[in-house]
Amino acid sequence: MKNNETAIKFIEARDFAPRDSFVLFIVSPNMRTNRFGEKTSFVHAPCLRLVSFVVFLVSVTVLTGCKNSEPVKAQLISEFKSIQPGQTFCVALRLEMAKQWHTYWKNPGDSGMPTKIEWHLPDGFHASGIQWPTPQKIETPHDVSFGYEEEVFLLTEIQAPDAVKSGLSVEIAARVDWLACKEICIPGQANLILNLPVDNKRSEPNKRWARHFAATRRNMPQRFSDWEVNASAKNGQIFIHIIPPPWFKKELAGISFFPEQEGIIDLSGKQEIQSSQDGYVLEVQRSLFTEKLPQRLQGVLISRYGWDKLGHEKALYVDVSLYQ
Amino acid sequence: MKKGVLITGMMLAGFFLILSPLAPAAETPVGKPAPGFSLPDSTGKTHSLSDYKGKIIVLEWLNHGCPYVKKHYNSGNMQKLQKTYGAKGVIWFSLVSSAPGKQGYMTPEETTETVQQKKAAPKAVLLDPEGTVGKLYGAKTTPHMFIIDSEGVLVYNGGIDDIRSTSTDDIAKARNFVQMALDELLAGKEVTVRTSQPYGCSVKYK
Repeated sequence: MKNNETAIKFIEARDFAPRDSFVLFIVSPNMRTNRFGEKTSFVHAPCLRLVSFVVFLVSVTVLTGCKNSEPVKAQLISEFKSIQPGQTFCVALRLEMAKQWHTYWKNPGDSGMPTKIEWHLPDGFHASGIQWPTPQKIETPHDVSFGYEEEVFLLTEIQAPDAVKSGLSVEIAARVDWLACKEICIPGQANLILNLPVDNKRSEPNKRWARHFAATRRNMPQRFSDWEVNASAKNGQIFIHIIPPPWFKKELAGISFFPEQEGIIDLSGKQEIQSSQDGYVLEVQRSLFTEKLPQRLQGVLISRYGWDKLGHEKALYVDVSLYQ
Repeated sequence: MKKGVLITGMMLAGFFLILSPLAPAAETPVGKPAPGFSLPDSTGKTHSLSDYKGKIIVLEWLNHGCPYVKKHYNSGNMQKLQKTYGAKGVIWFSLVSSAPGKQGYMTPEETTETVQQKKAAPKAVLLDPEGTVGKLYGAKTTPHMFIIDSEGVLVYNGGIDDIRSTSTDDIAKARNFVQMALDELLAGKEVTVRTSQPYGCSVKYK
């Protein structure tokens, strides 16, 4: 999309980029063609001028981004400041939402769009899919969405090849597209770049962000093998059978299911949990927008009591056959 | 006897009134008669569904402020569909269910102006600021597309195509369900894809 009235250009370099490479990138935008095959026109002209000015005159490397009224700021953050050949490392897309704005989960719900990341990596590097933290359910009187408010870190694992040379710096680039909504919706996009030095002796953790990576991982839906879950469909209803482990002595209540697949469940419909012979059954309404149900049901079961013994893990990942 | 019918009717109406806020989409399953309505267009002329008996009718939920609507109008995709099928006798209505003060709401004058400016070619843009018809049909998003066959049966309820994005580049790659269904109907065939998840912005109901 060229007429990019809403894109955010926010690049933070201090944590990983060798300063000179960042300066080169900012100061000589027209001399360099980036991985996206375009001259680096992805830095907003006024923003670019401001950044260049700051970099030149003040020679600071701490950039807090171009302050503007855009609803989302995007940034790539590596879990390691330097990487080793053959290492699998994690990179986060950090989205900071302005107050009351949200971006979307893998299944955005009734409206919206999942955030997309298109990686542009050096030869031999491979990126996995996005690891999505458990979203919030965002309800209005007329629709239900799943997404994130305030801030989210979307994690991706990147595998470096064994052959990458120590002493070099590699460019990890991503074209990111999101939709931000607060009542109205504004699509945003950014082309983001991280430069990571390769060092065959050590991989230096990025301490500044370690806490955020840890918190994000804690907020990922988990699989718990001691809980037995299966699903069936009948007469327009979907039944999720939940059999608790022997140690679970409480009453299961306040459970909700966030489907990972789009258009299978009527999100405005009621979700009711009842006791069954061997556990519980959560009854959810099938969406009007699917004529043929899939073979498997994927999603997240949310329990305010938690699924582990300590009650900390609120989101149980479900990927089960859907018997029909 | 008459009283009995009246009471049953009132009970039914009451039932639907109670049901509607909980399950806005439940009233319009595909394969069932499309619910009737009357709405004014931007010139003040009232259009009733029953005025177009025997015709294939498309209902397109519209909000020009929504990036997904922009995708299909800035690319000319929606206008092309309106012109192509309008020429084949299909009645195409764009409906605006945005409430006054909310995104996408247009006065009748603004509506007429926008149609010209966008070079849009619907039979009419129908004004539904109360959201009554939007809720009657369970319109969830803009765009959200409904197709009614010449027998008055709802035969399609869903998205315009299968790529949920705001990028005009995706239009050529997508399967356009509206085009597919209209081609099938015009050829006297059954609609094969009768529903899909609509995608877009939420309808800005009051």
